[in-house]
Amino acid sequence: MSTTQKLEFDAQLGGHITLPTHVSTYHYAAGALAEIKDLISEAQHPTGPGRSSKLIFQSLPKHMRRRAMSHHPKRLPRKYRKAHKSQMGKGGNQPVNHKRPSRKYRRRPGNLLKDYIRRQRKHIWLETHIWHAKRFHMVDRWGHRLPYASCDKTYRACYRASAQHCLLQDISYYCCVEIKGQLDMLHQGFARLTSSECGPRITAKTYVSGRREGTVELFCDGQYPLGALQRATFIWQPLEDTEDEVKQRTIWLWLHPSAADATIEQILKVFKLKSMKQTKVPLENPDEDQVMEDSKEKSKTKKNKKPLLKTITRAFELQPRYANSTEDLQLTILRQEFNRFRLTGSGAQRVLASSLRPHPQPAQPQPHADYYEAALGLSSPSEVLSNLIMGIQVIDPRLQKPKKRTKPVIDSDTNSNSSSAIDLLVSQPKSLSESPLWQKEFRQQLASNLLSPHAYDELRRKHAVVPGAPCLFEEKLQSVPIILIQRPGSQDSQYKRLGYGSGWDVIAPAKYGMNLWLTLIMWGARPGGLREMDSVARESGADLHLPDTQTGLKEQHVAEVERRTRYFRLPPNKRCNYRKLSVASPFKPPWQELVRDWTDDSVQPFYVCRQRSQLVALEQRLLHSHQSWSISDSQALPPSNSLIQIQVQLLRRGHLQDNALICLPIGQDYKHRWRQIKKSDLGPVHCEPLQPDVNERQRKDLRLAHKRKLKRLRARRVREKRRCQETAIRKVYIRPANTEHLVRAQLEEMCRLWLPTDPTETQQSVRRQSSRQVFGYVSKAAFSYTEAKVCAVGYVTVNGLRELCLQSKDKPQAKNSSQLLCLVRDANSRDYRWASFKINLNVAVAPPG
Amino acid sequence: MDNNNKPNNRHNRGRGQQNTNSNQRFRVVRKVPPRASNDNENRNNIYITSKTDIKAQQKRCEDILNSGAKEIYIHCMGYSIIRGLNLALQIVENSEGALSYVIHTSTIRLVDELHPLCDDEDISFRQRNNSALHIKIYNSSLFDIVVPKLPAQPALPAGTDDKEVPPSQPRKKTKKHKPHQHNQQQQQQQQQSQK
Repeated sequence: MSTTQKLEFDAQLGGHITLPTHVSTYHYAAGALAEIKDLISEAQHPTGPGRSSKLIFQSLPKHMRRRAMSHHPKRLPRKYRKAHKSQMGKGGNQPVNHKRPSRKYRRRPGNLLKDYIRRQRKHIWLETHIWHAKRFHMVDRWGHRLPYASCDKTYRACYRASAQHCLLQDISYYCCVEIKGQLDMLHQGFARLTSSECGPRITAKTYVSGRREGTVELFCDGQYPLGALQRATFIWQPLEDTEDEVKQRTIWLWLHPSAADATIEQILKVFKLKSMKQTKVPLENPDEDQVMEDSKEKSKTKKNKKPLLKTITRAFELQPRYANSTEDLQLTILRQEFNRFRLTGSGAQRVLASSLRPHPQPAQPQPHADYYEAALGLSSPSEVLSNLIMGIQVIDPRLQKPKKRTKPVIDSDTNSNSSSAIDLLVSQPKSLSESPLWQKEFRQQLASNLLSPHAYDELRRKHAVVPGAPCLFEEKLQSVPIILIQRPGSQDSQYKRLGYGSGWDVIAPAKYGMNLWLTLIMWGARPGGLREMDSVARESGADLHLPDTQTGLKEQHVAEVERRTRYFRLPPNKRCNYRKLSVASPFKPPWQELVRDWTDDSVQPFYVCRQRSQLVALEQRLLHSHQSWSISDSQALPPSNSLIQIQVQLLRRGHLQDNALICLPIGQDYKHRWRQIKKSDLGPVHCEPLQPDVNERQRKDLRLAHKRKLKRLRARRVREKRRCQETAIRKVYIRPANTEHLVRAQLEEMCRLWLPTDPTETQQSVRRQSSRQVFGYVSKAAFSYTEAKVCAVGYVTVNGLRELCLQSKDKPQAKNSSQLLCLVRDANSRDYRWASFKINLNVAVAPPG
Repeated sequence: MDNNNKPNNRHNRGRGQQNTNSNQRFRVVRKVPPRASNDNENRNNIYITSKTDIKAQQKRCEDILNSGAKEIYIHCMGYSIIRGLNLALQIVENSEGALSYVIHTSTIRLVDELHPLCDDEDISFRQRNNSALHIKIYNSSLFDIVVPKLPAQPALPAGTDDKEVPPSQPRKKTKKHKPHQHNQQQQQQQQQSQK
């Protein structure tokens, strides 16, 4: 009924379109067909050209849609996932595609190991890495990942350990280089790399016997005193028989990793060594591919007979080998071959005695074991011969590990013989320093016969009836050869208490690192990191790396970058204005410019004076200031472009940091000093007057101009956008700013305006930077627990010392104090304070670390 | 208040020795002197050096005595003998009669290393002797009667009988003190005690 009442379309409303009364089927079918085709194609390619702008998940029917589908592709049907990902990727917002695997998966042993290997590709790990990584802040240094300092607060505890107990550090990152050759060849070669002015050289009689470890300063070929590379320690393999003088000798050089490459390069150049990566072997050799070592040996012998040769190139060598043309001088870099642990402090004796027991095997002579036990029974490591080397075979350190962390005690009857200390010092058993660790085959055998921790635990589980009781199989564990090297510590009772910093270095074979480390720790040694290397060196008044060595220069650069970035991280009102403080070089000591300002010749490069005779002469001159500083004896004194290492102590209050200024006092300061003493005034002796900062206005203008410019640029972009929007149909977005280069240039300019002018640009900019003349810089400074004072190591110029000496001769006030005095000022302070200083005579022989 | 004189003296003494002993071929290196044999077991051995603050050492001794120790040993050698004597007398005086002292003298054998400065020499040694003083300060109070614990313990080893004290010295040792200096010090000491 309703249909009849309903108005028909158009015609009934008076329109001109009339509906047909009938429809032809083929017309209808064609239309329906086109519509179906459209629908199908729409469903199949929703984002095709000319299609709707729907996303894939929007095209799904309602019952297949899920919450957060766009975010999580796994909620889509699988066939749509790929399209969805590409769609989302184009939009710039990546969907969550790869989740971190679950912890359970990651902790499976195989996967964990794979991950460890992957992470070691970038930085080498020590054997104790995982132990350290759980407890220490780790830093990337010198191609290694090394422990810096404990996560606990242990700064003072580590000092106490180094003074009275036992501080333990892993220094396996030192690079061991083995050189084999005849003694005279080595002597000639190293004569070009070292100098006799820096004390005994590598082939000195006292070291060549292999009884003591030596220290030597290495320089670039023939460039002494310039071109210092680094300080290296070395040990000679002891001779079995004395008549074998012409035989091949072996030496191990222990190089610091930061300059190891440069040093090895110099050695290769001096000895004309070539890499053995490519070896030529005879073509007819049948077993050449099986045993590389054999083939090389044979190649030496057969080279003359057979002209047909084949070159073998090895892609990777763990231990690169080099040899000269006649192969009688060989160099091998023993990488990952040893562990070297450093024990510092008098407690090292007891810790070592409890954790390393001599193995009762027939191969080991009884006097060695006796001497070893007696030497470790002494109260301090510094009582035995300085730098003594002891080779000893010990019981596997795992068997000596206590169940709990235990304080080692020495029963008093072992060291009751008190007169023996002198005997131990003067006479050692013959061939004490011999060790099978020198033989490569032995080391390989040792590593292959090592009972792995897992196998050891399995055996213990099987055999140990009583937990903790020793088992029978443990007696059959192989003995471990260990080399112990004494470090004498402080030898200058004038400056530092005798024996501070003394201890032992333990060289253990590879793979035993963790076993030994845990045993030492469980016997009460305190672990330390790189920070403790620095602090022990500073406490003993030495510099770890001299500033003219490659290592020192690198360290200095790193420190400079660090200080600079820290400075500019601070907000401007927290930065100290070095222009106002008149500090020329706030982030690093400008040694070169300092020497330039104190010499007439402006192009002389600087170096640190290491020659003892010159330093002794200089000290005599300074202490007997009544002697005239004439030109006639200037040969004995260090040249004017050398720096003198001094040990500084603040007399009263105040604090010093690295990179502080060492200044010359003037007559008024001496007067002021006596007035202060009388009034017991502890304040600074002089205050640097504030200088005006001419850049302050400039900086403000620059900042405002920069802000204004950025604002203008943005306004321009906004206008441009609006203009486009007027004509466009779609929404127009603002153009990206692209002002990175402007901002960066502004930052650089701003940094330049913040800092004082570079001292390289103008003469006398370092010497006369402030109201007192600067004649030196502090390299390391901190509060010293041994002295209970603020102590520092610094370097001064010779002419500066001369000036100090001359002016103190004129001043009656200065004459009263026969102590050497100077003024020091921190780079971020205005206060000058009095400090006494002392010339370090043993720069070259100072123990590293 | 200014302690300039102390480093000065040290410096001069050190320089004198360097001049006489090292004729540019050797560097004289001193070793840590031996310690008392029972050093590891208890804290009762005090080694006097010329560097340590005398006030701090006095406090340390008094702390040890107050914490129940029956006796302490003060070891001093060479230059620091005066300081050791001063310290011991001060402690005894401050105790108001509760403490007494016994002095032993001895001679210590010391060995120095001569480190070569050129290639052709090997390390050599030099022996010398130094005089040392070992002062035992013990509690002589009548009221301080030791009640033996149960079960009874053996008698105290090397305690009250005047057996020879094991030789032991402070870390510092330098040239012998001058007699007039000693007298001055003693006079000062007497003055102090009179006060």
